[in-house]
Amino acid sequence: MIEPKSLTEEERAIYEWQMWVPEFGESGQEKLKGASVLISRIGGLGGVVAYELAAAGVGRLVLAHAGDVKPSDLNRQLLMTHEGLGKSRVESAARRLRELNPRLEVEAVNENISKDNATDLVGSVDLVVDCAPLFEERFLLNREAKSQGKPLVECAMYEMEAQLTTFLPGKTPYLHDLYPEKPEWWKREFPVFGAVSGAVGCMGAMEAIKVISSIGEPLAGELLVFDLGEMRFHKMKLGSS
Amino acid sequence: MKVNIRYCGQLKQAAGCPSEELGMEDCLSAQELIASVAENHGEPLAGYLLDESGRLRATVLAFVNEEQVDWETARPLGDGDELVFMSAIAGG
Repeated sequence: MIEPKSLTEEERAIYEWQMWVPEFGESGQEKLKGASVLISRIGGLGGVVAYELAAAGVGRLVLAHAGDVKPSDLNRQLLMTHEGLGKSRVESAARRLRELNPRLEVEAVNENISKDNATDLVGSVDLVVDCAPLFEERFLLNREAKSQGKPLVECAMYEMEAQLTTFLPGKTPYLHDLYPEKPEWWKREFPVFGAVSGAVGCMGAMEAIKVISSIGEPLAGELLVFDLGEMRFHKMKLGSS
Repeated sequence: MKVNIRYCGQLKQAAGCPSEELGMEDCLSAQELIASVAENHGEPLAGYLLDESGRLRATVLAFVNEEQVDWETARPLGDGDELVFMSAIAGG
């Protein structure tokens, strides 16, 4: 349960433009400040999600991502830097986020989601954003979020395409309900542009903001699919007819 | 009658094209159309679309006119309908 937190004068100044958005206002901003979000992997997708949520004034982010920055990360992982090559990804992300928003509480977990940490990590937040490249991690996170009744924003990408949906407890299926099996052909490394991960990452952040602050219409029961190669956008209705 | 077929994700490479038009003489169910597409293309697309029992794979979602359909959907497809195949993709 999110406990809204009252704003300082500095925060009112920083978030002024978004508090002008109809239906959001100061009450929406207070909800963001009181919210905790877990982001599974903070690479191309999750890094942008984290950055936008930090910019929007979410109070606490839990970042779960093992490993060090590699050269091939730098076409899309916007929280990483050239100087950070060979150093912890999650530490780089935490530092960059704090530079943008020093009020942000960041828990940097140098681990990927696993059966050893999923229960505690999901239990410590109000909402989860899934940006992981491996289906084993995604299914595990989805099962845990569903079991604990936590909303989950699901982001995915491939080449110039992306998919985005929001799972709400008791209202929608979760990923393992939609796709009961892992695709055998999926590879950990795949073709993609940073502009694609950035686009769907921003949209994923907006989904999280909408759920936390109860504004707009989250993509519950719908799958947004877009192809930036053709600039084609579709909202697909989930649930077989 | 013509139905538009679109392929998303890795199915594009398997199909060798992002989309195609399929001519039909009669309305077909989603199941019949999916099976027909798989048969017309052969491998590798057939292997991506259908499992060993010849049913739509659990890792592929199918949509008719932007509404999800499953293997048992009885709704017939007719002239001007669009069938979209979507493979599961992840993050990174």
